Amino acid sequence: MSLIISVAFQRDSFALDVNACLPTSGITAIFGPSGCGKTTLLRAVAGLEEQVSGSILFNGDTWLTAQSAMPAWQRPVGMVFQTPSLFPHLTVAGNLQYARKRATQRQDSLSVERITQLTGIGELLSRKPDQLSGGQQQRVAIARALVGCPALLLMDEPLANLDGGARHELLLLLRQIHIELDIPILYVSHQLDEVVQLADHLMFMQNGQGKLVDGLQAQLNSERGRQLSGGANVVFVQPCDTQQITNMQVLQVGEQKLQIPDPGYAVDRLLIYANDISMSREAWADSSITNQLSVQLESIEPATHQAEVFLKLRLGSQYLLARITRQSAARLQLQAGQQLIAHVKAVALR
Amino acid sequence: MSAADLQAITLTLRLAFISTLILLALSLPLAWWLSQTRSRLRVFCEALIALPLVLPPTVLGFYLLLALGPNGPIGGTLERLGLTHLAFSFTGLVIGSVIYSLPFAVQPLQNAFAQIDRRLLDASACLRAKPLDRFVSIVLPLSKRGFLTAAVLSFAHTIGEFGVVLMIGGNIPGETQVVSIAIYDHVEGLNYGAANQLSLWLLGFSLVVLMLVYGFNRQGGMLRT
Repeated sequence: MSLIISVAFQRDSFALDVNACLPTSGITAIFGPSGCGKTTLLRAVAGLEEQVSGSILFNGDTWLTAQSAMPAWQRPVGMVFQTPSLFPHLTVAGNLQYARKRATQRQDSLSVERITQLTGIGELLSRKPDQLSGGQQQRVAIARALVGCPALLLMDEPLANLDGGARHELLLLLRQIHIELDIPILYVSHQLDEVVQLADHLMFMQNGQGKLVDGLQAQLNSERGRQLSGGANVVFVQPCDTQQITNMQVLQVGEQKLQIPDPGYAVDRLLIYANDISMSREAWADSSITNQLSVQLESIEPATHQAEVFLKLRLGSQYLLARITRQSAARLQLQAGQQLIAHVKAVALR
Repeated sequence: MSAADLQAITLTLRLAFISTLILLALSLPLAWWLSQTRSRLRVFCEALIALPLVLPPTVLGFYLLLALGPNGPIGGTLERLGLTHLAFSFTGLVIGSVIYSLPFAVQPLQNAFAQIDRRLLDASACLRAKPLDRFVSIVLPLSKRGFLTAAVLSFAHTIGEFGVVLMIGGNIPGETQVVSIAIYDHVEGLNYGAANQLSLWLLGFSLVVLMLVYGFNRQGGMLRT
């Protein structure tokens, strides 16, 4: 089961050239700077870019070949745009019905009632779009795409136009959709924290080029990932049942424990920037940083800045990247294979 | 009011009504095409449609008379097919009115279509709406006001028409004598009382129609439909 994309497109000085095989399970994020062609790629998958040539195959169905292009309305996709694009002449309920009526196969798991409840828009059904806030509009847009029962959900920077509070709530909603509904999602974003919090798989895009799709951790740890993310780590964690601290969430990575201020939901992954890790040979007893992890130094690799190095650290079955100066590395006399202590400042969803 | 005047009024309304229906049916696809196409033909078509705005109605009427008359390409063909030519007939009047009022139907629709957010059409395409479905379910409701403006302007403009009608229709009571011609006829015959009566009727009717439209538009503005 996969989405095989091999497309090219040229407009003025911009060239899109993507050859990739994307898994059709979980959330696959397409990450890259603004203007790198992410949106064009997503629109090509949806069938909205007529000038894109190449081939697109979805789970064995041909959506695009050199000879023919399946029109957008025949492709079983749902699309959530950067702007909500709700139909202004219809109420919220009307917008949902519009999608439901035209769905080619209606799944009970995506019924209007269930999706309304999941997205929390029950109170808004009789309102017109211009009576909603930006966050509410985007919720409705997501709900509308879902009740159309798509086989693939496409999301084009759905949080880009939202402010902090609304953005955070929507991010939580997307996580919930990911957990509760069995719909593959292609998620385009230039915000690293969104990608890190949501994605299972990741594809980098730069200057219209995109090729390799891999697991989130592997991609972030790759050379390109380090360049584009500036050194970001995702650490998958489990809740720790044996220890409880008020207002904190205690998490486990292997046998080791971490704690973070309780964000109000069950945390399953943490974002740790390479810059937010400092190293020492021994554990510190008197430090404000409570999270100290015992790691093994795998290798020392050059960073983009000449004065810095990346330390690749093994943390159980996962890897962490830390960025420190060459000077510090020399002072600590670091060598591959050493046992070290990583002091981390971990953040959950913000 | 004389029977002839009443007949002129009914004929005028009938002409305006039929012309408006044809105009709307014609203008919907035409205005949509003009609002969407990137073809170079667009500029030419737009200029062609706008011609009646600048040409004296007599020029238009003159050429229509030639084309629809017994020796013209259209009228002549009809004669050869055993039918009658269209000069000085009600059908000829309808054809003239449609051409003459075309810009008043096309332009408001084209403007309304051009203002529709493309993203809404993309969104509906991704909800499995076919092209015609998109047009009916998204484009038409969102250009309601342009549609109404087009209808009213076509109707009112046909009622107020004089030059074209005079050229191709002449002045046959019950067949081509519309109100504006009848008024002219009364004035020629120095029958000012009758002319005044018909003129007042036309004035009042036009005012009421326009007030209805503006009233509707204002209400629409407040309800944001």
